[in-house]
Amino acid sequence: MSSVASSAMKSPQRISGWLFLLPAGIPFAAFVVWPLVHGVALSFFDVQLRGTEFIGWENYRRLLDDETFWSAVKNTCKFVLLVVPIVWGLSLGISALVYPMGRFARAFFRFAFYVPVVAGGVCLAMVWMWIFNGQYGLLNYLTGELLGVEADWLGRTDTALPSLAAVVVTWSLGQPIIIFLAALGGIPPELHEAARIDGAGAIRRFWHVTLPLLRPASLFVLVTQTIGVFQVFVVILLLTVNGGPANATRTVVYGMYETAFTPMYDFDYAAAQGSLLLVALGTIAVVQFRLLGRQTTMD
Amino acid sequence: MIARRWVVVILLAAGLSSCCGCGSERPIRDRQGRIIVEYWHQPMVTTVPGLEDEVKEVGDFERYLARQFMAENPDIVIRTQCLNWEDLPRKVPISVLGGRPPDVLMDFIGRTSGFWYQGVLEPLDEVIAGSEQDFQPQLLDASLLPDPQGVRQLHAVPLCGWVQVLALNRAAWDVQGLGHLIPTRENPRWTWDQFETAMAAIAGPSVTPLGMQVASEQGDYRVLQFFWAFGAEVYHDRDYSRVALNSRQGVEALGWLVAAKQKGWIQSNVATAGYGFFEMFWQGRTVAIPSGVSVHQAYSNAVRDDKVTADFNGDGRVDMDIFYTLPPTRPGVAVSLPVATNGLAVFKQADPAKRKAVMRFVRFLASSQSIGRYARASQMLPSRKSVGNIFSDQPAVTEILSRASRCDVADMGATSPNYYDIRKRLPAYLQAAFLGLKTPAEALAGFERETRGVLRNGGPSPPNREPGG
Repeated sequence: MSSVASSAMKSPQRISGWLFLLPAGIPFAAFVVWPLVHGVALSFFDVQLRGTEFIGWENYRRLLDDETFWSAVKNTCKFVLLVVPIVWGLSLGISALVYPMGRFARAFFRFAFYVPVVAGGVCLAMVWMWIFNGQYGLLNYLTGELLGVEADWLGRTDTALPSLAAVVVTWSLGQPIIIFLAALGGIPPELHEAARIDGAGAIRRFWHVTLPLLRPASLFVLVTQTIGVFQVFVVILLLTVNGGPANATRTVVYGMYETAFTPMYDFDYAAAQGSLLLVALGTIAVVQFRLLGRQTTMD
Repeated sequence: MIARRWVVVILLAAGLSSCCGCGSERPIRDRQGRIIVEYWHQPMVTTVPGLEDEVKEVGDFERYLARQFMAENPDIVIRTQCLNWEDLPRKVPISVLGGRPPDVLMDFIGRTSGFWYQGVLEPLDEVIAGSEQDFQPQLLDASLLPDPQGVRQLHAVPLCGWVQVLALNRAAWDVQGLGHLIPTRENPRWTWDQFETAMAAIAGPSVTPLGMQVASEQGDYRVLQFFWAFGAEVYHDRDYSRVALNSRQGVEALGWLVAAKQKGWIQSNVATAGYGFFEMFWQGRTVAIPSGVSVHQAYSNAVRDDKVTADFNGDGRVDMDIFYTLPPTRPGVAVSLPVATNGLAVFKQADPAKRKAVMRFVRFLASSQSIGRYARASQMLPSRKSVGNIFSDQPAVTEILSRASRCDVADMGATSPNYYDIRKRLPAYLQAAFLGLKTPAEALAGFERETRGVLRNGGPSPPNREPGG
């Protein structure tokens, strides 16, 4: 049907279609596609200020030897494993609690959880910097008063990464909540009603009706969150000193930034790191699609 | 249909290439036919004695110099640009990649040397020809780098050198009747035992005497000073193909530093704290900082900003008496000090007339008068002897700089090809030692292993050993 419609589309329509795409297409091509292609190409060259030289897989061979890079990979994976399930679970739970509420309450919570997304990472990181401050921070004040425990949260290798993960969780909830609330609204009430008539309790209804029907939304949340958390950067740059202590919070994207833009100027090596990340993210996304992407129908 | 699709693709590609197009080179002359010389510099000078009306903020001094030069050279126009500390390491290389570097750059030779190894700088021996003897040998030596044939050439004309000494707040000892524990003004040198006794005497719950940070590579010379105190070296005999810090002396030094932290001589958050130790110095929580000789100047600013609250006897009055000593060393180890030289580098010039104009400007900047003003304003050692005693009104600075100039220069490898790459790797291992995650021996062995990988894969590779070096 669609192919028939497509072939029947007249030339002026086709041209106007392209024209409508241009305002978004040109910046997308210029600032996303071209840098991506250029970045991958760059990784096969030795870029010096005096000129470039093709070096094949040399930068990738260097990566194999680079302990700091692999420690950053390990930290990034830890970050993803900490943040993504928590964000998925929390946002789903909060959405399930908020959805049955009245229209205004729902709007309020949607707004409240979305504010951090609008506020931007830099502002939030500055607030968290103050919260984590060892001398006058809110966190130490609270834990000191309530639990008698005070710590240099970002200064210890065992607490630094989980602390940063907690920060990322707080500003990652907004978008998944919006998505889950919208997806919940798309589930026909008859299905719940039928399940209720069949004697299913609230938990069984959630487990056997709601959750399977949220599969497409869950897939979207998991894929976008995984990609987002793999690229975590601002929180490392602002809340730690160079991904410390002892590289405990250094992530792949932070390492790329440091490799390219500190006086090392190793643009090609940074590009190799980025290309590897691209492949890893692509693979993970495909696996997630394969595992969770089975079509769910409401038949 | 297919042809139309290709038209769209070609149009898109054309649009893209125009977006990503390379920048054109800078014009050589302005509309009046004057040669344009672009001068980029550090934000080093904020006040210059005698030029208070002309120089009120960073960049003013360079504009003043440009005006002076243009008055004498009406065929040349100087455009100055002051780069802040964050922009310096980024904007310059990006400008080189974009084909629009400055003509003259004033910066730390640890950075300018990177440009030399990339082959984008002019050798400057001709600028100082005939006046070599007038330059401080350590500063001149640091600016001479090997070209691809191994011949040492002047890659930057040295202006002044930042020398590290140990700045004390003498009042901390004096008000407690412990003044006899520290060196005298006449002989500001420590014995190692004397240093440890003085630190132990002053350390307490509210005072961690030694100001230091290892959170980043910035200020690494502060912690390295204690490695040198034990006789350890970052590089041995200018061999930049191997980092030599992992030695018996290095392990002893790191062991001493870790123990000093455990004894409360170094702040407990040394692994993650940034530059807070200067604030701590004003507050009296730290009383000894490896530092340049500009602490007096910083003190004036701190007083103006109402930051100085050091009060060791609780009488409500500020106790601050800044006193410079040479850093202590273990018995039998000579004092060696890091010297960070700032210099003038010239990017490759294709046009002979412009090259001539650029060299004329560099000669002007490297005159005794300009260097004297730069050095005085930044409280650094001037590169030229003929500037005379520019610190005559600051006897303490004169005295310590005179002593410092007779000490060996500690080799941080600042002008070695992989300086930044190596330097960036050290803090993580020092942090691991300070946090007790690794023993000093394990930390330095790990650092050596990693640097071996870096040096094997290395960046630009000029001859590692300099002739006769």
